[in-house]
Amino acid sequence: MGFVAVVHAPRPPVGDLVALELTALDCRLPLASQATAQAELTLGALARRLVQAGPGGRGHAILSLLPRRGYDGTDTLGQLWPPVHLEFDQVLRVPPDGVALVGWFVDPGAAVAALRVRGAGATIELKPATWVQVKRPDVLEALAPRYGLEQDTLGFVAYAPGLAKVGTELYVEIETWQGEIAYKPVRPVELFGLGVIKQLLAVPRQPRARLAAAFDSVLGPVIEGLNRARLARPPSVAALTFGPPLPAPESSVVVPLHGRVDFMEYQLALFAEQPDPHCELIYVLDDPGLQDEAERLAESCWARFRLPFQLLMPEANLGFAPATNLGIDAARGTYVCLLNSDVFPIGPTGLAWVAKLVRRLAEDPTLGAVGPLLLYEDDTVQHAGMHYEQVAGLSDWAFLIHTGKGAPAPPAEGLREAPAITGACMVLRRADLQTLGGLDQGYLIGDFEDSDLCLQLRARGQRCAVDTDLRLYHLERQSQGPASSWRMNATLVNAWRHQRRWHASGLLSDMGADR
Amino acid sequence: MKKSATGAVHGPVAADTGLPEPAARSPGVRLLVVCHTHPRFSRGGAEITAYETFRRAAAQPGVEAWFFASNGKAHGAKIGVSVQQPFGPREFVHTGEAYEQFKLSNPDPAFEREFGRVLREVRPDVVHFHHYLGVGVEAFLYVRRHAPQAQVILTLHEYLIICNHHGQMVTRPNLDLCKTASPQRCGRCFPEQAPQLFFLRRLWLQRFLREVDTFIAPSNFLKERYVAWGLDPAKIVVLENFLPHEQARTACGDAA
Repeated sequence: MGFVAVVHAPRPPVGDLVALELTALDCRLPLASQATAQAELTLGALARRLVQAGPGGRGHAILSLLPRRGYDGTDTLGQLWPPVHLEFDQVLRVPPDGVALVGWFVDPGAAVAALRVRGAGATIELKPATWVQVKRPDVLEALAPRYGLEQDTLGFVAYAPGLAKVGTELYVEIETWQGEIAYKPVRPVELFGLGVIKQLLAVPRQPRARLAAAFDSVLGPVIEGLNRARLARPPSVAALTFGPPLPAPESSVVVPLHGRVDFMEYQLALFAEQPDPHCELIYVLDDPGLQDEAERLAESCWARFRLPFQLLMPEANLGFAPATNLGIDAARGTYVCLLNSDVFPIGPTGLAWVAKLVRRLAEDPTLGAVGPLLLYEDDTVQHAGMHYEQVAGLSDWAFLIHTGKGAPAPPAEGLREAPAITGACMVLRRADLQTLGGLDQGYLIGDFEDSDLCLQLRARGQRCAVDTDLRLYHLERQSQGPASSWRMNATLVNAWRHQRRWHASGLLSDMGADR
Repeated sequence: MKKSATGAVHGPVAADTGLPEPAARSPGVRLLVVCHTHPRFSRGGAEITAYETFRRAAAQPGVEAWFFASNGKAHGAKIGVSVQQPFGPREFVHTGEAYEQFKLSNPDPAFEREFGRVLREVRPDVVHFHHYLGVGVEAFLYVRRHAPQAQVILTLHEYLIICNHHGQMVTRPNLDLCKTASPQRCGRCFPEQAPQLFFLRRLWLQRFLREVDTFIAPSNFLKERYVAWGLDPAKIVVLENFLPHEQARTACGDAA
């Protein structure tokens, strides 16, 4: 007795059928663990007739499936006709269970019906509609003559989560409308530095219509996964102390340095004009390449200005929030002032402003964070509090708007409550910071961390305010170095994260937008 | 005792000798004159005036004077020291390579140490700077630290504080006359620098100039420019610089 059985099994890859049980006949048919692919011609005449007459008139389609081979570790994409090009420049492990695929894809005959990442028993469908688009003029130039291509967004970043064991061998299965199948092996690498995150974010800004999907499906989870993984490895930190440590500081000023260290020199010179023996200074150099320069400058600043400070130098570039948190961990003051390196006192006020902000918090237990009025070099407002607004063309996420920026400085009228205040200069209780775990390290650059902190304080019933009696200069982003392509997308990742964390709280819209 | 700083250095000038009248000065004044170079090394107006200040003061009864000059490489560096005394016990010569033009700064930690040692030895009542070139504007602070009793005087010789273009107040590259400095205007002369850095430069310089008790402006015109830039007019005295005495010219010139 013989029979032809067509088994629909969408999950396991071709050839992975392990057994076939025919319960009616009360028998179990052993099948080879790797079924043999048969060309149509090699089938016996009877079998061929049976298949052709197969169920639902799909005989032809079933016949075309017969030559399918299982994945044997080789790249078979070149065998497809019409041709399909799929190349990966980088395949990254994204903890806990995903891979990010960076490459380019050209399907001139619109032949591809489905793309799947397979491995270790899992199958993840790739959906090109959600991919991050990347311009690849090089691919266009090479292939345009052959296929008459016009569009240059041939590159992509894709994400396949849910692969339980990403360490095992993976491959991409390409299925055409014709029913043909090709395979492409992919070998994920494990790269966890901030550098690889910046590299991924150097993709062009996505069109408005694709923006939300690109972040929800690809960039958001990929960056968060890579970021968590890199932060799970505590860095080794070199620490230098200049001058005697303060016995019991009331406050600790934490200043991250990145991209340039010369602002430390200006700050220390200006702060030394009116030192505060109860205020300790902690610089965190988040830029290993500048370590020599920073050490020499720190030595020179101590010799010249005699203002004690610490210099912490993590061995790897950590990013704004983790670097700031290193400083917070080292802080011993009851209060912590988060300060950017491009904020400078006005006139001979030195460090005296710190104690004044501390006094505000000491006097008012409902106050969670307080900062000064920050002015541009032309004495107009750089920061007098922040509120939230949507930005045209940038999804419907809330962005931080500096209220009254560029306007003449308001008169000194004490505290002015605000939905959020900038982390460029912000004083908080260290106990609160410890409870909240410092700045949220899921944000990438100094963008939304401060707002998140303010929202956490407000969710606990504490207020945020600007002390309009105190003014400092803020040169704004001078400390962050030249704008680069990854920065815009880093801001968008932050906005995406901020939105997901706070949208439901109702705190993003209750104040400030009408100011 | 609060000394009249300007009186101590210049004083009313007697018509017959061209030298300050001794009576106008408090007795026992210790004066340190600081300049960016020594007239033995170069013959610019500032160093000649500075040296003349030192020489005339030293000639006065009741005044002890010392001269501290930078630009010591014109004399020759000695390994391991940045301050040497090749011209006798009253004259110091500083050698350093760290001086930084933009901030008029000397970040060399050794300079703080050695200038501090000089200040503690000399114990000046008055430190009269004829320039900050080479020594750096931080030197005013070092006087506060190592000779807290001293009055700090600075003679303003050109517009280097205001103008990064060699203090000449002419634009770059067209050499048009310029009246006011601002981050934007200076940024146009030096497009390679961010305008904000000129703002910072001013914060930096004002911070150190606040350590100075008295500024001497050789002309009303110069005083007005510095007041417009942000110096406190109450701290500025207008006094013409000494022209070099024939005798001094010979002394310096022959020795050089």
